[in-house]
Amino acid sequence: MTGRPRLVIALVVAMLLVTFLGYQLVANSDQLLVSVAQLRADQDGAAHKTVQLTGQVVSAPDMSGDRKRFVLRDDGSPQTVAVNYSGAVPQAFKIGRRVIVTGTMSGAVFVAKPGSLLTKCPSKYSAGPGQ
Amino acid sequence: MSTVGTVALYVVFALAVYATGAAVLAGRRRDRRLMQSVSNALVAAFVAVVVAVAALEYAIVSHDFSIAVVADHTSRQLPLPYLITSLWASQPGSLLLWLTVLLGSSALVMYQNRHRNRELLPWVAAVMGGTAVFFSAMAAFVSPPFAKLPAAQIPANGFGLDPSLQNPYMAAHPPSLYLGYVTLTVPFAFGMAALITGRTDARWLLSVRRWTLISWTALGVGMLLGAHWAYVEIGWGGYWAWDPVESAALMPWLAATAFLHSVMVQEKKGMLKVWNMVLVSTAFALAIFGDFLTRSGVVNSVHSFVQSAIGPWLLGFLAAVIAFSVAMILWRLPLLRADHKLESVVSREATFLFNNLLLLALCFAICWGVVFPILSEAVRGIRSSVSTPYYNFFLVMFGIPLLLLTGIGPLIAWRRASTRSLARTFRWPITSAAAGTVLLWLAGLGSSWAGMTALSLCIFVTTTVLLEFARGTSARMALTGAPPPRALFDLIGRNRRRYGGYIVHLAVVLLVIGIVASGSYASVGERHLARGQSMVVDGYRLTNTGLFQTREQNSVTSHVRLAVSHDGKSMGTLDPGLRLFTDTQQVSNEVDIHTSLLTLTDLYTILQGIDTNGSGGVSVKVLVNPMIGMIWLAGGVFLLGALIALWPDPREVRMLARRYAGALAREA
Amino acid sequence: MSTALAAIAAAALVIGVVVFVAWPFVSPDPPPPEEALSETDRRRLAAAERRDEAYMALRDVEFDLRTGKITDEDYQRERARLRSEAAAALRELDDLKSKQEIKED
Repeated sequence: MTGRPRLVIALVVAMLLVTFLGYQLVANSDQLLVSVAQLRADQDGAAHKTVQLTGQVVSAPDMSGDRKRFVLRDDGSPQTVAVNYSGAVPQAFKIGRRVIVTGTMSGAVFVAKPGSLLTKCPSKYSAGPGQ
Repeated sequence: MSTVGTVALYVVFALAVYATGAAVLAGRRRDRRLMQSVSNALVAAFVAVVVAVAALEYAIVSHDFSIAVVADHTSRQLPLPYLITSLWASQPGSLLLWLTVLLGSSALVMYQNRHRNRELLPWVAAVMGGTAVFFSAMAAFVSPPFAKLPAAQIPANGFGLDPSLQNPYMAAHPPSLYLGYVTLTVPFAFGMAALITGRTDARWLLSVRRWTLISWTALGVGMLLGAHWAYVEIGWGGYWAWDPVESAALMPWLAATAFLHSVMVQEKKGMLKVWNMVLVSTAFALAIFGDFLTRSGVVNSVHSFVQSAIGPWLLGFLAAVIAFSVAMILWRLPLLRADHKLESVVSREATFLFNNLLLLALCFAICWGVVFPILSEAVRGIRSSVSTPYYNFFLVMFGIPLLLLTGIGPLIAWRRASTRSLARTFRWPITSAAAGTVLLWLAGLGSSWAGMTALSLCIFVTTTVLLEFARGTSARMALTGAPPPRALFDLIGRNRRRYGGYIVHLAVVLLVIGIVASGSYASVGERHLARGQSMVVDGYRLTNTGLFQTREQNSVTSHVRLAVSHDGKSMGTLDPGLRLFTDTQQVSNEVDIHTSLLTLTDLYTILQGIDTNGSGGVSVKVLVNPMIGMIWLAGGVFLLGALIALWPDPREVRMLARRYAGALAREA
Repeated sequence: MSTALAAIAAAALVIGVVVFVAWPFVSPDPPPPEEALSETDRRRLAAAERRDEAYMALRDVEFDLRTGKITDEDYQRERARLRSEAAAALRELDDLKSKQEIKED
């Protein structure tokens, strides 16, 4: 490869790298993904930020009204947290399912962003997701 | 029956081990009899795995709940078609599917090459056999599909298949994806065989071109099937969530796209030989990585499964594949010298190279997004993940230049294009894109600069493709005097790869239009509607005219009847609902969608909540997704273009016959 | 399925597989032994590839002219260059062929 094409290609590669690294440094787009225990323990300031919370649904008395509430339990410990939620309830949501919901801790309750509820698959292999 | 299945899997494993070892021996000793035995072994392994599949299907259909996967994923109420497709709903069952496609491909490769590629074939068989050893060991020993439940735990009825999976799109999605993933083994095997034998000429490329195209198409269609299912069934109004397992399919697809282009550069110019070896290994490694992501439970994904035993094994296999390919490429580096040099950045070779760089940059950015949570947890003890804004940024940053190159590539000459000819060829595309941009701006689409840029480039690409068809047809007409339809038909027939490729580019344009229009120009309305109340979203008026219920076999669905009108004209009703499954107490969204046939725009309605006081009030979310149907249409056009490109070209067959004539005939 | 039937089916599978795999060794006509590609053969292949690359490029460049992607001067220059590349490859093929004939005599 002669000089000039090689230079141009090197420049293009450099630009791609700069774009990538630049974004990483400047944008603050990553979000913590915490368990109930980590949220309760305020690990890494989780109780004061918008985080993704994951846990197992242990009670969900009314999911068809406008203001929904359900309780999530930690995987490894008996700690629980109540979640206030509004918006679409995904397929596959039920007691015993693991879910992910985005929001912020407010007092004793986790206030979720509307529509941010995701269900995880049951512990067996299943190609079906839920959002 | 499960005993037959288990024995069949042991037989598969034994045959794979034999085939691999004997192939290496046959390659070194150039023993044709041994090679024939290897070939037979791979075919026999395919037959044996089909026996295992039949045994499992029999167990499923006859409701043998003593087998764990049958109990966990099927039930007596499951309709027959979904009983059959539940084979791949379980971890071990899907592993069996992977193995079946792998051995089927191996058998087909052996058959296709029974009179040619004598030097490469033993090593191709060795690599494919080695891969089969790994996967058959997983199926036979680590995650056996015929594992039985303890007698005390055998249920009277199985747990059934998740209702959201009982859908034709979901049934077809895994086979299509697996066809895509697994057939990437073939180009990888040929590439490694070329390195092992030192036959780094273009022979291996010619053998793998079709396999790569099939794999690429299957992966693309598989992703679109999954996306469409998510859109209509899961019901959040979207079709892609940048879930790690979705990305797991996208990454090898991007690498395969790059490979399909750089292959052409090596065929025509004898350049990028090392690059192609790296690409083909990367594509295969990404397929294995994708499998690892899906099965290991290591990423927090809605698709993934809790820590499975197979995860560490897959990681080990992935490490072995990477180590092996790096070693082979480094060993044969001296043989991979280019025949020509890159002489100008204004050439088709350079365009393809830039296209490759962008595709891989995007692939890398996605890979980082997927792996980042794992790394952050390892370093900080707490998981940190990226989401849609991260991916969208890179999709825009790398995708828009890619779109530009898609338009430039077909119009630029090989080796070196002069400025004068460039000005002439790009005059119309640039003019129409500029005019189109103005029109788009006037239509009010300036709200999203990324959207406008992408749509302008779509006009650019469409113009270049149409010009190619037009100029080619008129050149053909000038040559033969044939009428336009005949000339066009001949043109495509004589240049199937080129024009099939152009049709695929048009499919990309449709895909981008669908993504951009529905992504950047969608409207959303979320309201509480009392009975009789209306809401307006983007010119559509929806009125709550009351609730009603429908009853199915194991569920009750509460619907709201929304009367829809647009500009005063009634469009009928949409009835989104909330479905309550009586046996599992699960609640699910049943969305209702109206698709406009003219613009493929969707009016998408979700029932989010029903007032518990019985007043008939509801909480709904309404989306208007402009031109989203273009995305599904693109899938069909992809298939058409790929089929045309796959069709054998008689002139090329003659050229290859001449090249490999005489003493070299066995290498043909 | 009864165990006896299952055992017979499994045995049939194993036997069938073994026979099929061993067949090439017991069949009466063994195929002729393989010969490696000689150095001359490899060079012939490489030259044939370069010849074909040149021919394909000639076709492409003619197509490019007819569809207006290159100017006439570009075309004449490229054509001359590609024809000399093809000629060089053909010369090498001839050389190798005559060398092989000399060897075989």
